[in-house]
Amino acid sequence: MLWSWHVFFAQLTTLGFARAAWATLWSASVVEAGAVAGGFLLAMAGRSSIASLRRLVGVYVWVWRGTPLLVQLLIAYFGLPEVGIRLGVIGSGVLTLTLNESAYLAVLAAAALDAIPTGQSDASMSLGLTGWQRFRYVIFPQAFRLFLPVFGNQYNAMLKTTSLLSIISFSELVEYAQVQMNVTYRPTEVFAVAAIYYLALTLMWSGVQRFLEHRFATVRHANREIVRDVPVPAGT
Amino acid sequence: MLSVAGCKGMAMGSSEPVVSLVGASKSYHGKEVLKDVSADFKKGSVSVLLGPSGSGKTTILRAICLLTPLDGGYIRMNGTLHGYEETSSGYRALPERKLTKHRRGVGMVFQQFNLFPHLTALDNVTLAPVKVAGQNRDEAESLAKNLLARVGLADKAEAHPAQLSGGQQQRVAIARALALRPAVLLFDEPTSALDPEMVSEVLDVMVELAADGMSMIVVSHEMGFARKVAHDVMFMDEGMIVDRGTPEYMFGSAAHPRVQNFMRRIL
Amino acid sequence: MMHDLLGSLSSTEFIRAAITTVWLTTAAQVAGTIGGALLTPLRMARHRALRGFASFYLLIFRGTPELLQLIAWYAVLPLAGVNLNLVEIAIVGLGANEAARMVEITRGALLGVDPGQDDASRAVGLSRIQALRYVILPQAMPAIIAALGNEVNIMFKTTSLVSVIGMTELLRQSQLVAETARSPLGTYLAALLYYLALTTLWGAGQGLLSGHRGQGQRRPSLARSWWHALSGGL
Repeated sequence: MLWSWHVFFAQLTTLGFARAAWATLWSASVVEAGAVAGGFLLAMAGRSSIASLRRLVGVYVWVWRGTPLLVQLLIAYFGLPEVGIRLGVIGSGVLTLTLNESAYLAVLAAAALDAIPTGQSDASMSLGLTGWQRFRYVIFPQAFRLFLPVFGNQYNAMLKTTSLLSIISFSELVEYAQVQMNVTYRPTEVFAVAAIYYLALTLMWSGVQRFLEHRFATVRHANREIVRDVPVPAGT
Repeated sequence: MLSVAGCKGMAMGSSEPVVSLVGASKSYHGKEVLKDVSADFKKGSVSVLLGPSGSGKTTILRAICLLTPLDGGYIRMNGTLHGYEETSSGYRALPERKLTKHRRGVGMVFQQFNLFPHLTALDNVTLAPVKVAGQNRDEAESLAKNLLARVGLADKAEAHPAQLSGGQQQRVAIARALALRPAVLLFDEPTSALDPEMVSEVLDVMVELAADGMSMIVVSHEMGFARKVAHDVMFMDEGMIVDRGTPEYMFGSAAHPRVQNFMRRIL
Repeated sequence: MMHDLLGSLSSTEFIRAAITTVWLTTAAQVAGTIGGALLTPLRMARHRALRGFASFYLLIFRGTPELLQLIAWYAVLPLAGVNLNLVEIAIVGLGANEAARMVEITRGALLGVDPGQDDASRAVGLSRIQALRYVILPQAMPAIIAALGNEVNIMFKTTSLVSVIGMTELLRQSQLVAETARSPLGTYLAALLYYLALTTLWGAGQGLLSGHRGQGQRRPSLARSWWHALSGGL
């Protein structure tokens, strides 16, 4: 028979599947967090006045975005040990994904940074803020707000991209599904459960994304704990 | 707001000019924008820079406020080298990281306001004092509130720029520039981006500042302001100072013919 | 390592595998575009059932990983009595996913057209279908074409996934060789270079087709660097 509800529910309630879903969630989060830092670093470097640095960033982005993630993973896990770098399943998986995603986020971060008018740099410079202060207090807060929606989509995609880690036997949802399929010989139910887990994760994230966008889009009144009384100076 | 027609009698007799431009030269893409310009600006005086677009007026402001490094020449503030260092072969601009300290002494008000959109008016004004001057936050905030009150926006402290009109935004920008107690305030066409009905609210603030003895260098087309408030008017064309003098002189028939031509065209 | 790298680069199997990758990309993209063209009207249909089906389709195919879909097609189709060979499964799997992507792209492009155009065409008396056909769609086309070019770029890389269901394209070929080669690293690097060449050539070709020249920006920015142009966007 094509479908057995019994098998389906048995699989749905397997602890192993839940653990695999957790692996998907945490690996996606770690990768995306690292990639935001990496992406902005690359974007800033890509705007540097040092031409060779810009070119280096350009090459990095070109290679990491121009080749399949799967090949990159194989190189990291099977190829690097040859030159003495042994990162293990988790290490090579997370690192490769992070380096890859950084290249994609770098382009998005660069676009966000470009969107900020130069007047902002001028004004903050004229007030005597150092380069780092300008970035931290003026440029980045604005760039991040622009970056947030596309970042949300990238995270959503990353939840699914982690599936490629199955190639190097990292135990996330797809890898676990394949294992279960070989144990139960019931691919339909097993994959249905995996699909449901993915849908649940992406749905959850959509909710978080909406919340984040709402919180950052609205005006920042709530940053003070106390509602201050603004004393009106005499003689206004 | 007080209107100060007679402010020009204010004391200006300080020995050192507050800003001294010496031999300033700058080229962009091969085009000479400033040609060996030298000028002194007296403490407590209001100088207005006039001239056709491309004459170098904005470049001078940006040079003084250390946003644009000069190719040649240097700047002194109250006698000391400002943003430049002496080398064996002459003078050259300081590297970026040393410049930030020098920038505090000069305040700049931009044509496009350039307020920080993600911060409230109050935060816009306190950001630099807290992060650059290391002031205590509460101190900075009470100072900021005073400045906002001074420009007439005490009740807008918690507003974001998007919630303010152009005139209000520019006044916050003025408060922001004042927060670091600069020795001189620069204005780059402060009212050009404003709707006509908001121009006077900004000009009134500037007039008050002048009455309080603030040293100001203003690039503007507002002739009324120049006539009534300026202590000296400087006309620039093609990267050089063509003529300079009191408003009466510059607006009159004794001024350089090119100046008279310009005045005729815009008045 | 260099021996295996250069050996693989010049081997006939690799070249054949690369050609496989190229035509698989083309076939999958064509299938996906046709699928998307059929699905998009459903997505915007009046009939709730049709819209529901399209939404459900999008939910499944955009909400789950492509790898999972490919493995599922491979494992489940035979159980349902449908016996396709590897190539057919690959095209179905890649195409079905791509169709979902194309629907989103088309929808985005249509939404990107000035809403005033809708008003104007209705005011002039055009029916909804006429407005779409003669006014909205033509204006959405440039965005769709541009996105399509980008999709091909992505598809070049996505075809590597079919290695998992056993089809011999570029990645699978390198895996087969790497198993017995002295230097797996060299072999995989060869595959990497092949892919890089493919995406770069496509990116350059894309750039030429759309007549893009680098715009003079006041500062060189990453998003405008020519490396980015070569790799043809996201």
